[in-house]
Amino acid sequence: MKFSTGFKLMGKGLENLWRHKGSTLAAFISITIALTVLGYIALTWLNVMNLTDNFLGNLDVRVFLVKPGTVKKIETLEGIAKYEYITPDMALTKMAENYQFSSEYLRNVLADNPLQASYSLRVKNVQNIHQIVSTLEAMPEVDEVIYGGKTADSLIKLQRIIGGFGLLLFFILIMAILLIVANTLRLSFAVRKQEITLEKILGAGPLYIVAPFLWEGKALGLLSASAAVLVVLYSYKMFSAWSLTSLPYLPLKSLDSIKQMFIGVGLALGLVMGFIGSVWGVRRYWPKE
Amino acid sequence: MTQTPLVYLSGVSKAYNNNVVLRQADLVIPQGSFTFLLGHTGAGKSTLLKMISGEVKPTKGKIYVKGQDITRWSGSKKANWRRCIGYVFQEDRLLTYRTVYENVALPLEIHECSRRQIKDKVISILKVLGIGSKAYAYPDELSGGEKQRVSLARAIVANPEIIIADEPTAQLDPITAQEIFSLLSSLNQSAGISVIMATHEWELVSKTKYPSYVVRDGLLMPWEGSI
Ligand SMILES: Nc1ncnc2c1ncn2[C@@H]1O[C@H](COP(=O)(O)OP(=O)(O)OP(=O)(O)O)[C@@H](O)[C@H]1O
Ligand SMILES: [Mg+2]
Repeated sequence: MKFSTGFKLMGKGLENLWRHKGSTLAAFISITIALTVLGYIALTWLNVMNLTDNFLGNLDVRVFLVKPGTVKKIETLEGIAKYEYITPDMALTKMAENYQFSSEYLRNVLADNPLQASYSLRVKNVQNIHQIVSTLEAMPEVDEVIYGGKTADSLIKLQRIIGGFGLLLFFILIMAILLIVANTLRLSFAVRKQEITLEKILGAGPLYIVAPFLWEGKALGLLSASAAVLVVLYSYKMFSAWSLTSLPYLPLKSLDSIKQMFIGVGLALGLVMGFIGSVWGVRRYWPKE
Repeated sequence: MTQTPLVYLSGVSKAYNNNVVLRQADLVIPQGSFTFLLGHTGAGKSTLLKMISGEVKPTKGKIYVKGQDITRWSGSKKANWRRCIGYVFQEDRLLTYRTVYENVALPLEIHECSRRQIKDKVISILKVLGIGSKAYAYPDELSGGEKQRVSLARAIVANPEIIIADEPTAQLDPITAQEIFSLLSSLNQSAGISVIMATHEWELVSKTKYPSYVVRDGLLMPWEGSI
């Protein structure tokens, strides 16, 4: 097929959208709503992951040692992001700071420093924290491991639930969008039935017949996605501004940090959904040869 | 050595459900010939023509185009053959929401002609058929005869190898009908385009020497001046 013909067929596809404006508008609104909901799901997911990761990432795992002295095994353990060896002396200084005593005083009161040497660890991925803790506990050099166990566990659970729920909603919405696009295109096909029949009799090939509908689907997807991206980003901007004064302790992801990703992924998703939906909608007429 | 006929029907039968329209029809359309097809209304003329273009499938029998059986053709081969045909449909099949110009341009667009070529060809063909002033009118704004001419223009604009004309003069006054026939006849003679034309106009047919066939009671037979 010639380039100029392809271009003309694209024009035809856009003309189709205009010819059944009513259903185009209905489809546009439905897809925009679905994609907007998808956008909010993504925003919620991103923020929850961000918050919990922040919290969990700062989770201190304290490994108390049986006797003072660094342990190479712990420092080189897989999955450890950062470690700090704390001598009994350092621990005492810290404690004094915490209780606002002078460390001299404490040292005098406590004839012998009773504090244990320990490691303060940060793990790379909190999902693995259980495994790391049990590995540590199994080491003979280790006396006890303390971390915010309960809190960490429930946060990890929350992440999993939100992740799974988000994924489920994501698939439902994607299917809904595909269905809307496919139906719109079936309707578009019906509207142009007379023309298609004639074109076939005049010798138009299958690609010639189908191409305008693929363009139509892509355009519909792209238009709806643009609208949805605008709605999502704009409302997120408003929400961020509002939360700054009303929920100042809530560290939301900044608009700038997500803008590009939302525009890129959103438009691509619209385009791909439009294309797949249109292929699905006109699959019976899909070129076979 | 004889030339392969452009179209050759061998033992073609067609029934719509239980309504048998054609029985064991044989027909040869040599390249560059002019053939008439006669028959009462409902005899099966349109059905026969549609089988030649591949729009209707025969119930039995074979249809050869340049020696190839079209009943076995794939979609793209069929599309190629159809691009060689200029079809004047009995019901004009003009797209009502497209202008005369756009309707006539359609086959050229399918042939992937350039915008410039399309413009030149469409404008000149409309002029030849005397409807140049109607280029930007919509089919609903035309008389029956004008529509028929648009339909004819669409059929001949893309230089077809064969023109299949299904009662192209049905709605025309005798003089215009004669003109249209003369046009088809001259396209046949000067450009060597094969023509097959279904018609009711026995008188017109009897004035020519072209081979003529008639469909009667499901049988296709040479016409000998009476029905
Ligand atoms: N698509 C169809 N489905 C069922 N029956 C059909 C169909 N097309 C035509 N027929 C029947 O086939 C018979 C022949 O129809 P056809 O249109 O070929 O006749 P015709 O010779 O062209 O008539 P006319 O001169 O009126 O145009 C008629 O009885 C008609 O009712
Ligand atoms: Mg007929």
